Amino acid sequence: MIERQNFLKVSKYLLYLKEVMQLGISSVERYRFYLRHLLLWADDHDFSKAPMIRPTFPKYLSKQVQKDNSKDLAQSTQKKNTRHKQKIFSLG
Amino acid sequence: MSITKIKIPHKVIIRAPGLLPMLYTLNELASALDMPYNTLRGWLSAGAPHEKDNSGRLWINGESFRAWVVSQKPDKKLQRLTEGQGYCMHCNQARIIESPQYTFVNEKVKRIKGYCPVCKNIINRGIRDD
Repeated sequence: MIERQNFLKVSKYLLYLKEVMQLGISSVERYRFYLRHLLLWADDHDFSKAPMIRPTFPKYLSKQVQKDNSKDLAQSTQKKNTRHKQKIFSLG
Repeated sequence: MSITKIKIPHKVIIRAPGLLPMLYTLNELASALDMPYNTLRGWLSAGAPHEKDNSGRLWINGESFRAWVVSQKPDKKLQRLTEGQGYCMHCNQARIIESPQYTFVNEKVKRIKGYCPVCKNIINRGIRDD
């Protein structure tokens, strides 16, 4: 079961992207999909305890596959995911 | 007591698999599925899985809601038309075409035009002539 506070933080971050960074709806929806990985990775741990979670986020991403189970996630997707994770953590 | 199935909109069928394994409030679920709040409330009274906490707040588990949406999908009955039959749009049933007339649409596709023996309306059917 996913930690609710994490979900609220991610929702807040998406709102920030939309209102402050002026991103379009489709971009925000894309990032919402990216950030699913972060929520699923953290699972029931709060983001404040993220350094303790194993496997680490980049390692977790490298094991994820695309929808049709054909390929791993693209390098650029993994990179964006990690960048967004850092932004969320820095925003608190 | 019979269990009636709710007609779930296509966008909900598409979006429901994306629900996370967590507890959603009604408002959050409404925005995740892009559905009106009152429609979701109606679904909850019609049997969608939810739980109430001590303060009376409603919580919906994303995973169980996803499973419920899947269970609401209508059972598909594949009914093939036999030779000489056509589907009457007025009776909403397969009927034997009365006084059929054949015209070729192209080399392979034939069109049959006739009448419904019950309601006497026009029935059209296209068949591939391989």
